[in-house]
Amino acid sequence: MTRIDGIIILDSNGKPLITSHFSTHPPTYASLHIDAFNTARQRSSSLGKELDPVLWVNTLSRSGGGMSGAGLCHLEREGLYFLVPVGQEVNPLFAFSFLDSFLDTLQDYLGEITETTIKDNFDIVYMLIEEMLDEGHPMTMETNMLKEIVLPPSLVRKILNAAGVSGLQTHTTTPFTAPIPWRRSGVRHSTNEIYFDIEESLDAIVDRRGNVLSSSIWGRVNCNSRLSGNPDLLLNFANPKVMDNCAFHPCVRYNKWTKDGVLSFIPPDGKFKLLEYQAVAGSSKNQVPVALKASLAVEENGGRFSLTLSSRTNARPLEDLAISIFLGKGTTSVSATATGDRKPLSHGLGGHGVKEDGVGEGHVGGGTWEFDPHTQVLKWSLSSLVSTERAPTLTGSFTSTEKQPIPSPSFDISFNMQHHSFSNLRVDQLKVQGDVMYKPFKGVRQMSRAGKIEVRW
Amino acid sequence: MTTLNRLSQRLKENFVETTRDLSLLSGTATNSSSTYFDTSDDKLKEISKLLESRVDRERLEGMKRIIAGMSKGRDMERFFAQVVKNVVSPSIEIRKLVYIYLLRFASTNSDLLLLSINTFQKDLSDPSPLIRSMSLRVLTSIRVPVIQGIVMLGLKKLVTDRNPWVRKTVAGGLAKVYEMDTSSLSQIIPLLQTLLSSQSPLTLGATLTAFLEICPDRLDFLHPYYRHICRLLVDADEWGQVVALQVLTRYARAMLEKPDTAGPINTLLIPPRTTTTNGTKNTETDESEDEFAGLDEDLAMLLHCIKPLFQSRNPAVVLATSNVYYHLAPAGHKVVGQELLVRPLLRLAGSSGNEKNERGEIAVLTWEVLAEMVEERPWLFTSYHSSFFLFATDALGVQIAKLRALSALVTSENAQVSMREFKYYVRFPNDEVSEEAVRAIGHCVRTQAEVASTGLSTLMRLLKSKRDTLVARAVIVLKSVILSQTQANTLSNASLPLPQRLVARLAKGLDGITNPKARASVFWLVGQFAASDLSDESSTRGLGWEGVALWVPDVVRKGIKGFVEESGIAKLQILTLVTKLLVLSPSAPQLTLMSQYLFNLARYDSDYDVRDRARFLHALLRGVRGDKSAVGENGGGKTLSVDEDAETEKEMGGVILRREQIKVIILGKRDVKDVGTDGRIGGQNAEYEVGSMSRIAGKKLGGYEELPEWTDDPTDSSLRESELDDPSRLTTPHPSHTPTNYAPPPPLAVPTHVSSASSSAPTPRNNAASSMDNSPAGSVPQNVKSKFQDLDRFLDSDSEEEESEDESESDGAPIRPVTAPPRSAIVPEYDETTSESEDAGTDQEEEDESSEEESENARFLSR
Repeated sequence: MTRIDGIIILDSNGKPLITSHFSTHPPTYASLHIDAFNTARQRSSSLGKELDPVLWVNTLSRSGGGMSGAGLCHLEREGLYFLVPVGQEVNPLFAFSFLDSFLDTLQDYLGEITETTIKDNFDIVYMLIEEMLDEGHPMTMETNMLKEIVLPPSLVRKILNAAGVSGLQTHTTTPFTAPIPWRRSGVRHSTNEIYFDIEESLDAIVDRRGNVLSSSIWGRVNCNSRLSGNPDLLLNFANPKVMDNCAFHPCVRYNKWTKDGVLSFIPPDGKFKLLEYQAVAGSSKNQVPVALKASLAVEENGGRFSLTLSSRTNARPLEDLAISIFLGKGTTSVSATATGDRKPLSHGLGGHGVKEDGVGEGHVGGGTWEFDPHTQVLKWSLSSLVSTERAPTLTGSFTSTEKQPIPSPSFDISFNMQHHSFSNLRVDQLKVQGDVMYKPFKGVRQMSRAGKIEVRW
Repeated sequence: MTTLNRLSQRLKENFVETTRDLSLLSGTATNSSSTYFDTSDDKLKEISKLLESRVDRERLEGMKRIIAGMSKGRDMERFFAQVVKNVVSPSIEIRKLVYIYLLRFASTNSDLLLLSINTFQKDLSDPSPLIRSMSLRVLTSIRVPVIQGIVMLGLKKLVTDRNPWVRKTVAGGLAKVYEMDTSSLSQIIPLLQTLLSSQSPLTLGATLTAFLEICPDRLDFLHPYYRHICRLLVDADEWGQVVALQVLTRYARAMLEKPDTAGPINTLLIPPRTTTTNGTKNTETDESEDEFAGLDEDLAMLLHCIKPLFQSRNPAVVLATSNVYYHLAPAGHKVVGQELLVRPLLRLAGSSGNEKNERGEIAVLTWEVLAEMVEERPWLFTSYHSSFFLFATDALGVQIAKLRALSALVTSENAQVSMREFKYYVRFPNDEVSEEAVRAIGHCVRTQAEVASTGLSTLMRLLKSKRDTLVARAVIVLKSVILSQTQANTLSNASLPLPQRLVARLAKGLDGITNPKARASVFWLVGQFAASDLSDESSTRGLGWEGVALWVPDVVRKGIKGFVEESGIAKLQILTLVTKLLVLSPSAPQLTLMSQYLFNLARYDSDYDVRDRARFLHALLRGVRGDKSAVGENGGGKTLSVDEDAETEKEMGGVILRREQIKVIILGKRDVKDVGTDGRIGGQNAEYEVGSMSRIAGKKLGGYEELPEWTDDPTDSSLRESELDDPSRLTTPHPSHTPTNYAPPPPLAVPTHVSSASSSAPTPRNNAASSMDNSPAGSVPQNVKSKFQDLDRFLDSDSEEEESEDESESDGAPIRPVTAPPRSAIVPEYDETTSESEDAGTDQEEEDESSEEESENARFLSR
């Protein structure tokens, strides 16, 4: 119980790159799953449907006689497929949580997860799997801990290896002795610095009149800690009350948070996600900072649309604005004009050249629009928008081979706002305590972006 | 000279190696990875040579190639002997690879492996905990019966190891040994108990995992450890927490008293909130003496102790915690009520699918779990109605799950909003979603009186939709609405038009309906509602022949005219319809003619189901035709079929039914099962527990067990008292007083020397060991007798000491105005109060404008 069966990594063609040991299973076990997955993938791609995250695979199980099966949990990352068969009842998120941390670790070790990096470092991947999974039970999962056991590939080691100095393990630390599971002992950095990235994203549904039907702000604080020794940090917020419904990294002391609203923790070394939160809803800050007046009329073999965009915030310019909509199956072409204040073209916009037939494109002061005939998505992008400028508009029409095209009933808006926080969360101060003799360099950055903002028409 | 030659050869090789590796580093080499994966025979021979080499680096290379071959699925077993030799290598890196290899092939090559057993055994006493644990892992993974004795000895030796990581390996080993040899249970149990009483949270997960593998039914073993586990749980590793929560849920169901207000599944719609909040309020007035009144002391402890786990970053832990609350917690309780599970789950579901390509699967699964919970206990989620609204960009699985939840959440308060949403979702381009939305509208129409008429007009409008599938779905939904109307003892909705009107309208729209299933439904409905005098009930609700005589024959005519083109199911329904009408009105001459024509058509249909049915119905109708033989002859009854009938009648004889009897057969009342459930709504895998993998997969997975019902005979709480408990913690937790739930930090236990030692110099080994002992994650501090020192306390005490000096040092320097050249991004100071009023102003304007535009749009779109 509560085990997964193993882990399989497939390349983009569905061929196995790595299959972890399925020693307690019949030899065909892994290939059964690979076959089942590939068949399901082909079927779903030919039907144009999404694949269920858990597939049912009939197998000969080892426990009881007779036919039984396994749930095959799978996900795709960077064109590779990661499969985790689960033959026994387990919490449905267990396998995916495991895959999540496995991928995080892999990312940490390899820098990027691609077919090449995995092939180049397959021994490391194998060792990692071996350390992380003990016959399907997650074992050592903390990246900091793992790094003591499985040395990450590094330039120095490769050169040493190549030069024949045989990079045999010269352990500076003794693994398995750190008192804190997530931090290895004896960390040393020449410059001590710690950075916090506060990222917030806003989900909202706006109806035709501009009323917000539902909205929520999701925030997360990512941390990159490069501090020596065992620093004990105390992070104060000016307004901790805006953070609600949090999820913490295990290093955060829960009781201190509930009592005083401060984050007290000994950080792991390196990058990690300190906490996720949901900002308290209901305040006027939940207002969507951009207003889109949209109309779309479906006609025979096509339709017309007109969009007007305006900023509703003075705080910060909206950047990388994009409005997109799926125009329905069979849409063949779009023609539209974008108007707005004439602005010097930034190079982001100048990049578009003349595209091949069927790809509409154009840019004026009102940004550029683009229609992708493969995905049938119309996308209107503007590099920035401030509240003072004349509202940019996009009007046009589209044609379709379908008699009655069915476009998506809402426009999707995305944008970024640098140095802004929807919830107005502010870091007050960071105290460094513990056995450290240095003053670290500290930095905080805030970023806000649109998560899923939809405007119905 | 030869040596010199060799040396130069050597250098050359090295040089080649170097350049290769370096080019690999620079990322330019595209086929560099192929070296390891090249498993031609030459290469395989080379591996042997490498393994025999004296140079560590070459042996490492050889091992790497072997592992590569394994991952390719090549047969690498032939190197077994050579690999085994390398187990004594001083290089940890080589040894790790050897272990990986051995683990895979150990069971098939036990004889050779026994050669190296001694090494493993020796390693069990290695000073490095890593080696100790690694060797034990390999030992226990070798599934060879001969060495079980040795393995057992090793386990016994290391079960009291000072290092919790090693003990964790022991726990894993126990399960493996048991799997190998179940008779060793008597030896394993004491070891398991030793591990259970461990004071380190690190081993908890592995131990309980082993417990589940070895003796999941012996929950009684856990009595003395129950409270201990509850307390350690927060500090355990995430994966252990998932397991522990599962075990504790079973334990609580089997051993603890059921809370008074645990919402049983049948009292769905009655939120038991009112009674309990009153109850808790009362108790609170007497100085919040006991917030857990009415709750089993130990259950309250469990629920309270796991509350922080809702805040875990690990989705599996959050879900596991929610499951515990779902299955164990009382509803409406102030401190540990079931309601607590709602927001963390919504966070998990809502925030996960957000990042592109990241954790989308978790979002889908969480929404699915949520949908199932909503369907079982909608009252938990009613105040979060808007969180379930669909995004057009959601994954399909998410949309379907949300729709299921939304239609389960419909109440009289949110009926209008729900209807608005469903109407909107019908416009989604994906057929599956919009069909589901139509179904949800039908659900609203049936259950919510105030939106019934708008919903119904929406459904009627959908009949004219250009989307085929929607029309079909609308007809099917309308059918279920009509049926529920007639079935209910009292008309459920006065606002709805009479069912016969609906049927008439449906029949009118028949020409526009192309979906076979939908057409079949219409034919069936027409036939059913033409029935008149079956009973009093139906005479008020059915149409009665007199009411339909004007238009039903026309429906039949249309049906017969296009009969050849109809689909199989529609053909069957046309036959049924005609039969019904004949029975109802045997004297209508056109009907008789049409029926004769129809039965002739059907007799030579290509579909044998249709032929069969036609024969059957034709034979059934003999009695009716007998009645009206006079009429039949008038209307040119000398057709082929009648002649044949006469012949067959003579031949076969048999019973001829009278008209009344046929009526009972064809138009008799029957239970319409699909009313109210509407297919998916109601959950498809309800036989599995909510939040289990089996439920998601829709199939029973190995090891799935029903959660036991609450026991009728809870065990005495004194069973759970044990010497493991600090007497001060034996009482029920009082979170209001000490939310920490831990005793205040003992000033004595502060291991000040640890910090000084580790900061001053590279930690000497013995010092490291002592820091282990005092470690938060570690075992019992020697100077405090049997008092587990948890992480928080350790750090609290530590930090309190240093707080004062630290204060002066950093002196509240706010970190915001950091001048950071590399990170130019610093929190800006901006004034956001100014925008407030302006915003409001523009809002107003926009409101006006948009309403204008709105009406324009409405004109635009109303076609």
